[in-house]
Amino acid sequence: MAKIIMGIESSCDETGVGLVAAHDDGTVELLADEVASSVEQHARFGGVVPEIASRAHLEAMVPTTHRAFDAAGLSMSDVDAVAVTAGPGLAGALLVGVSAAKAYAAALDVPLYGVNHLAGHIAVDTLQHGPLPTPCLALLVSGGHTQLLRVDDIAGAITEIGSTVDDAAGEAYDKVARLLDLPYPGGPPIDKAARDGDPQAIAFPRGMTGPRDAKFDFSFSGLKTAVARWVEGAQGRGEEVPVADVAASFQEAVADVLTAKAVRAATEAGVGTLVVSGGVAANSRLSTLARERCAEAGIELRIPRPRLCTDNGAMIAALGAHVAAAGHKPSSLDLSANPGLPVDTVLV
Amino acid sequence: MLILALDTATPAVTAGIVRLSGPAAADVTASDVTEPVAEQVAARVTVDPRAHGELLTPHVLDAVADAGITLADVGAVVVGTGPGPYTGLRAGLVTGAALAHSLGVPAYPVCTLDAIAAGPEGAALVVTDARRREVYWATYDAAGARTGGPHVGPRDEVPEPVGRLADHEQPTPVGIVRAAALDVLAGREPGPLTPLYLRRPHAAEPATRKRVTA
Amino acid sequence: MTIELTTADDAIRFGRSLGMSLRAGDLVLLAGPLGAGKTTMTRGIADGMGVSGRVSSPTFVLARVHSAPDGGVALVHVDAYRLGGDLSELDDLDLDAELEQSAVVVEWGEGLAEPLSEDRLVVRIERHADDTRTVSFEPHGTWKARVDTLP
Repeated sequence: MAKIIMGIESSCDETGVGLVAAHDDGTVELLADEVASSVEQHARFGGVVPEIASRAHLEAMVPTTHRAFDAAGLSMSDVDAVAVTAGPGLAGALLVGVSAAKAYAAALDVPLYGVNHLAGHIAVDTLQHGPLPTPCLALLVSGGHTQLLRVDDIAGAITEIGSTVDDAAGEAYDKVARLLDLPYPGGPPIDKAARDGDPQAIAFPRGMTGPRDAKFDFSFSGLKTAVARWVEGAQGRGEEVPVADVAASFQEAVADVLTAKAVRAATEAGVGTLVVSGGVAANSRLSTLARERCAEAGIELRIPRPRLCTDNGAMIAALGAHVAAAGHKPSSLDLSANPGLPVDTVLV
Repeated sequence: MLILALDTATPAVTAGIVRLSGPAAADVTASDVTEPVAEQVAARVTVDPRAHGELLTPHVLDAVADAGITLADVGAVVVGTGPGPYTGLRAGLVTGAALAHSLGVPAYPVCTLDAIAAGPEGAALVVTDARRREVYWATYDAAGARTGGPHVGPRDEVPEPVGRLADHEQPTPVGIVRAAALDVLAGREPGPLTPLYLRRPHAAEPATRKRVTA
Repeated sequence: MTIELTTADDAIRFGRSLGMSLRAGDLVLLAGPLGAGKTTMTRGIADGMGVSGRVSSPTFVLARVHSAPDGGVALVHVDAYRLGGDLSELDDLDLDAELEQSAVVVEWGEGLAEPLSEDRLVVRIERHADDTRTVSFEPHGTWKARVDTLP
C-alpha cells in the first residue's frame, strides 16, 4: 500500500508543504504542493531579509499545511512520515520548519526525516519524470546555490563536482537586474528583456574558463562587475543603456558557462543523464542551450516544470519518500537545523 | 483538563503538563468564589538560549511520559508569545501551533511576562532580558492585572517596583496556564499565536535622500 | 593612526594580523565604498583567525559563520549592504548570541550594528584614484587600548 509522506520546506523565503504517495513499485506521486511566499516583502531590499522571512514562515506554516491536506483530500492521520529541510539555508528560517515538522511527527507518532534541501531539488524530478537513472549529474541553479553534483543514489550518495566560488547565478541575476532598473527577483525580468536583445552584442567574460581555473567551478562576481562597468561606461558617455542587449548578453554568458561545464562533466564522467533544477532552471535561455548541447552530446536532459524547480515542500516529501523507501534510520527528535549542511549529507 | 504549557521566550526551554480545574465561565455567578486551580503534573526545563529548536519537542514528549499520559490526552495548548529576543521564540510558537493543529485542540497565546507574574499573589514588576543592554518589563496590580507594558528599553527607564520584583525569572508551566486559565475554561476562541516582537523592522527601504523643497 | 595599502596582498596581510588579535565578543565594522576591498580584508581576517570555509561576500544570506577547528573563536561575516539601516532586520541572525563565542565582522555595518558590542573597531577604507588605499581606525571599548598593537 502506498505510504503518504508530508514534506516541509522553509530554508529561504518560501514556506512549502507537500504531500506525496510513495508506491510499492518505487514511483512517487505528487498529491499536493502548497507554497506561501514572502518574496514581495523582500523585493524592496533587493534580496531576502532573514528576519522578515522567518516571521513569514511562522505565520504561514500551519495555514499552508491546512491547504495541502485540503488540496490532497487527506487527513493528518493518513500521514506515514514527515520530511523536513534540515539545511542548508537561513538559520532562523530553517528553525521554523524543523520545529513544526518535529511537532507534527511527535503528535502523529510517525518517523521524522531531516533532509538536504539541495538533494530535494534533484529528487523532485522523480515526481514528473519517474525514477532517476543513476549515476546522473545534476546542475542546481538558484538564488542561493550554483552547484554541479554527481548522484549515485538520491537517498544517500551525492557528491559535489563543482560549485560557485563567489555569487550564485541567481544572485548575479538579482544584482544585474538592479543595475538595469529591473525588479527583484531579477531572473524573470532579465529573461523577458533579453528576448528583444542580441546575445552577441556585448562580449561579457565567462568566469572560471581559463586553462588554470578549476574545471567545474563557477564564478559570477567578475561577470556582475563587468556588466556594472559596461553600464556605468555607457551612462558616463551620456548614452542610453540598451537594456535588452545587456540582458541578452549577460544571460548568454551565464547560460553558456553553466551548460558547457555541465555537459563537459557528464561527458567526461560517462554519465548519460543531466538534471537541471533550482529557481534559475526556469530561465528560457538556460533550458534552450542545455537542450541543444545535451542533444549534441547524446545526453538525456531532465528539467522539472518551473513550479517544481523553485523551492517547495513536494521536493522534500519526494526526497523523504526515497530515503524512507531505502530503509534509512529516521532522524532524532532533537534534530537541529544546519544552515551549512554539506550536500553529501542527504539525511541528518 | 490536562494542558500542555510551552514557553521559549527566555533563555529557558520550558514544557510542562498542568491539570486545570475550575468552573467554566458561563457557570460563574457573582456569589461564586471558586478560583481556577492549576497544578503541575510534569515539567521539563533546560536553561540554554541556543537549544530551543533542538530540545522543545523532546521536552514535550518527556513531560507527557512523566505525566503518564499521551499527547492525545491533552485538551489545550498554552504558549508564551514573548516578548523575547531569541529566535527560539518562534520555535515555541510554531511547535505549539503545529501540535494543536495535529491534535485538534485549541492553542492559547499568553504574554510571557503575564505568565511570570501569574505565580504568587500581589502586585509585581516583571523584568526580562532583551539583550543589547535593554530589558522588557511590565507592571501588575494586586489582582494580577497588567497595569503597564510590555515595554522594551534601557534598565534605567524601568520604574521602581511596587510589590514583588521578578527580575530575569522564567515562567513556570503553572504560571503559563494560570495566565490563560479563564479563556481555556470558558472554551473561548483563542487569539492568534503572534509573537510579541516589540522591536520591529522598519518599513523604510535603503532610499536615496530626496529634497523636501524643489 | 592610519596605514597605507598598495596592493590586495597588503589588504590580506593587514586583515591577517587583525584576525590574529580578534577574540570572542569583538565587533569589527568595515566601512568604505564598493570595491574598497572589504571582502578581501575579511579573507585576511579569516586566515588570521584560522577559521574554515571560503570567504565570499554573503550578500544573499547576509551572514556566514566560519567555525574554528578545535572550538576556537568563530568568525561571523555579515554583509549589511542591502538592509535599510535598522538593527532589528538583523535580529534573525542572533548576532547577540553569536558574539558570546565569535568575532563578528560587518561590511556596511556603520550606523547599524553598533549596539551589538561595546568592544568594537571601525575600520575605514578609503580608495584613491591610483587604486591604493588608506585605512583609518575608530576604536571603542577595549579597542582603545588594543588598537596600538595593530601593525
